[in-house]
Amino acid sequence: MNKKLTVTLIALMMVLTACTPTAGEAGPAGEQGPAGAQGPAGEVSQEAIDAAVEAALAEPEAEVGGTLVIYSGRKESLVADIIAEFAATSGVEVEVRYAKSPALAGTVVLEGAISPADVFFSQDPVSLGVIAKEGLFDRLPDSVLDNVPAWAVDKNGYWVGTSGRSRSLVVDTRDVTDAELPGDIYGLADEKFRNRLGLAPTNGSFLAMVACMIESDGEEKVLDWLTTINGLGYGEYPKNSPQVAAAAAGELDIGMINHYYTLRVLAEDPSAPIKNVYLDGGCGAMVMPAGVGILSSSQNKPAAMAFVEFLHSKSAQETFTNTVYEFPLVAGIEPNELLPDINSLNSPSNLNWSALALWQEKAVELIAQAGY
Amino acid sequence: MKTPKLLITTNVLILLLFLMPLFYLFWRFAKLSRNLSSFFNSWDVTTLLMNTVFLFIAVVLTSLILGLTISILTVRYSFPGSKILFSLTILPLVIPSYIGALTYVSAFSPKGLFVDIFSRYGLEEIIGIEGFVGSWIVLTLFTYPYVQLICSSALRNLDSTVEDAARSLGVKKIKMYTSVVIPRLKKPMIYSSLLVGLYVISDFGAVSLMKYGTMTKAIYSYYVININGDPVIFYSAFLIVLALIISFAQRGSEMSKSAKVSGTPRELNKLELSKKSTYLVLTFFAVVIFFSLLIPVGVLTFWLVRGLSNNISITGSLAGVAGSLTAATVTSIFAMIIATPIVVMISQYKSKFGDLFEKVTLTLYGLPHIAVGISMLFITIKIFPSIYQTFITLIISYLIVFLPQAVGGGQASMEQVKISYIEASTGLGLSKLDTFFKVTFPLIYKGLLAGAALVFLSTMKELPQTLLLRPTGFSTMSVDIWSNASEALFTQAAFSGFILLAISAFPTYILSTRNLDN
Repeated sequence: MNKKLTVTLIALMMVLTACTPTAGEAGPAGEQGPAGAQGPAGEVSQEAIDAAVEAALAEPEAEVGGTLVIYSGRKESLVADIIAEFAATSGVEVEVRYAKSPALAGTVVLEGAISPADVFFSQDPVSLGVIAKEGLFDRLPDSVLDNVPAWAVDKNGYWVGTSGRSRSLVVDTRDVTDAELPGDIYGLADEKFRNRLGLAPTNGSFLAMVACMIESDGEEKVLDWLTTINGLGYGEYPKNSPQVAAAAAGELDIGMINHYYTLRVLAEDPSAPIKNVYLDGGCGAMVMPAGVGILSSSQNKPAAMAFVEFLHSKSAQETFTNTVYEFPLVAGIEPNELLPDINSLNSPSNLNWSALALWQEKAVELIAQAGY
Repeated sequence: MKTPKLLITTNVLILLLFLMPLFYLFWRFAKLSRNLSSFFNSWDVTTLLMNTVFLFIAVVLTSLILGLTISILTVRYSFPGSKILFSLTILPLVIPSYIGALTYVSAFSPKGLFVDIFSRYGLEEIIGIEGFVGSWIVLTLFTYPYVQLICSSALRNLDSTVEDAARSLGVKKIKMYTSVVIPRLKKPMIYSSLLVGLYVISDFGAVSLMKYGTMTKAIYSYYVININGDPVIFYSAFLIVLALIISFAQRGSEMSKSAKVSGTPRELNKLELSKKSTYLVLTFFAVVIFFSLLIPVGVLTFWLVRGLSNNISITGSLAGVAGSLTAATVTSIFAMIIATPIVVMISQYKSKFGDLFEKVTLTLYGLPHIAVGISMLFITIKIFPSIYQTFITLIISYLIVFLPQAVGGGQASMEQVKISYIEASTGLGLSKLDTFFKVTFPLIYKGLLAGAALVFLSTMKELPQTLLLRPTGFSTMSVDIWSNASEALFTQAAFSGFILLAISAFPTYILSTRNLDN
């Protein structure tokens, strides 16, 4: 018990000194961590210290330390606080490389055995599948895999889900009636939606959806769908959030997005004239896990495991659902009240995430071929 | 005098090292399993190529018109404030295209700053500048100063008596410029056009933010989706070939020499403008400065003030400022050191080999950064894993593309070092090395410093290589601007943007006024 306290205090002191700029420090700035990862620089409140000590006393984990390199495909603004909390409570020094999930997955595959990364924290299952396919992940223990439902883990146990994200349509409630909306994504390729649709052709989740469509319905049907949508005229967006803004502003009727962007706007402004519509079945109703895996080449597996476990902790899960509006995956965590019941969503069952990884490049090709 | 062997060996080694990204890409390209025609069938190669070419032509034309007009007005006519207006119109040079594009996208977006003003006058269709038009406008606004710098200095050296003669013969003003002045400026015009063109095809930031599909944007999108895929290698190699063609065309144009000596520079009699014309000219400058300087700086100021008054913390961006300064300082120092033997060889020992060497070095300048970055990424992972994602790799990649600037600076001052000085010195018994330190170096260090200053400024602005190669946890102002903007954290983006512009503006201003006095 005493030893644990000492370790925690030393870790805290390290955090404190790291935050205090010293005049004599002239080393290359590259050796300093990103300021964001440590919260507001120079300040560690009494509360944080208390919380850290409490956490250290409460969790009887193996002792971890050293440096942990996280490749995060999840955005800095969404996960920096969670990672900082992990660093503060575990005493692990964390370095984070933020980029798009598919880019990081490709990088890890290219790096292979020399990868500096210990864990890969991904926005989507397809990117995790890319790494799993190459056999670069360690198998995770059942104790971790069993934390979440079976649909949100890799079939071979190479990665585990951390939160859930559903595909959805954001609709402008002033211009769209429920009755005119189709049951599945193919129904959008209809004359009545001419110039009313929006999508983000380079967005990872959109690509994942197209990959899912190729896997379940075949190339030809998907190319046909893409071509028809293109012919109908659509609003092209760089990513999901501007579609929600456009729908709220009355510029877009129907946008193909992930569910939480709409909820984020509704949380700020409940009177915004938009809502999510969840399709009934098919790839347009897909619920995808964001997830995490430990690289076989990691030099600090205890810390990597501690991080994975931390993402299933009550605190991290509550952050995912209450600030990001995602579905918590660990049992016993109350989903945010804006979320629909995840059991009411009709996501295709038995999706093979690794197979989707194989279709990713084909999806890009088809989208280009359809003239986007 | 024969070139010392040590000098040749050093330089050849440096150059081979620096050309490695090129060799590597071509090697990978040759290894691609598919045949060439399959690329054209399965991807949007033709569209991307056409988009790139259209943008090239459009930006070059408008930059040329804008830069040439400013040059003629400031060099040939006298009007109040012409000197300061010349400097102010040079200043957009310091605004990286991604900052320019970011501010334009924001200002003119459907929820942007100017929407109210536009809709009040029924101009809604202006709202939402993006795609080809957006890229065209933004790239023109931040590249015309290259034309202005080059053409104005050529124009200053152009004998104006021919124009006087033409005028006395009753040739009308417009006609005089089209038939007398512009034909004689052909070479600097071609030279600066190609410089602008190189900038356009290599630009990554502006076209990405404007969502216009060019080669650079394709390389990055394919990199994000599948870094190991063939398209990344294919497009990178393709873009490099394109850049090399433009680069060689530019060398071939040999503008500087002929344009500079075509006439005796003399005290010019600047023409007076009528009152009406003066107002017209001043309005023209006001418009140019409004769009190229005031909008970007104004939008940044707006974001910063709005954010700071809402107590948004910008401390997270300080690490980026430190990172940029460190990287730029280290790069410029090494650029100076590495440039020295190259400068000595090219200028002091005139030889065919030296000429070739000069050409190759200058070619590095036109290499698209994103392609070099991709290549360096592969090289460090596959061949030199020990320096992968290190500060060293980042600096080397900067040096590869910015070394020509340091060499150029050194070369200019090297012209003063006559071979007879060296011969005298060695004749008096000094060793070659002593001669270098006692005679040559003191004469050229100022030029090298000027070159290093340029390297410093360029490094600070660099984006694509920094994004690809930086060590984990290391950030720079350019990366902060890029990532903060993509998450709509405009206060933080504006803060980094402001510091970046502030640091660059002063030296650029000095350089431009010096240019005017000479």
